[in-house]
Amino acid sequence: MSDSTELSVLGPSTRVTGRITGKGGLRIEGKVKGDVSITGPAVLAEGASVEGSFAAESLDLGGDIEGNVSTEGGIVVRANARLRGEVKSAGVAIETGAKVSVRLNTPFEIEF
Amino acid sequence: MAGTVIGEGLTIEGEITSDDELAVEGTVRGSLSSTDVIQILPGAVVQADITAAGLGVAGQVTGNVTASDRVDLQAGGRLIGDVRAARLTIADGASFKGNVDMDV
Repeated sequence: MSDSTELSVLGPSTRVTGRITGKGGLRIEGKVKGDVSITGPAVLAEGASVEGSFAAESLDLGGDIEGNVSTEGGIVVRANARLRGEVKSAGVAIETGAKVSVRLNTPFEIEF
Repeated sequence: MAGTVIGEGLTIEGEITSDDELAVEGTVRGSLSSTDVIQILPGAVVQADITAAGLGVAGQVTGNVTASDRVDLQAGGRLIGDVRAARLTIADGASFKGNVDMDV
């Protein structure tokens, strides 16, 4: 369930109001009101939510985010996830059933 | 393993509440409360008032702590702040500055 790069876990009953920053991976199963900015990969489990901007190396989203999301790597939006905001990412995969309302920016060049 | 782990390298500024067992190896500023046990591990830096059923301190804590059951100041732990708990242990090698209220 948890992979070895996850150093931090916020369990299902854990609520954070404030700012989360730092190194390493983070798995959120609870609720966060505030900005999250980490250098490692992030997992938002089903039932988890974040209201605020979210920056991470990558994101596996099974819960809800309302806010701007920015990742170096990719984002996977799982079937029961909900995402609203501006998204900047190297790439995004959205599973059938996910609720997504975003302005999406995956930086690239088109050559003519 | 605790249900919530604030790992080394992570900083949370604000209010944290939980019904999980909570382990802190990183940095917390603000307030920290759980209806379960909170363990402040070596290397952790906590500048927060703490409320828990039980509290173990092996890292650094600055703030007032309240526990419905017990507070254990463990070897290497450092607590600056007042303690309100029915039971308190201070291990050899722990540092403590503050008042103790055991509700007698």
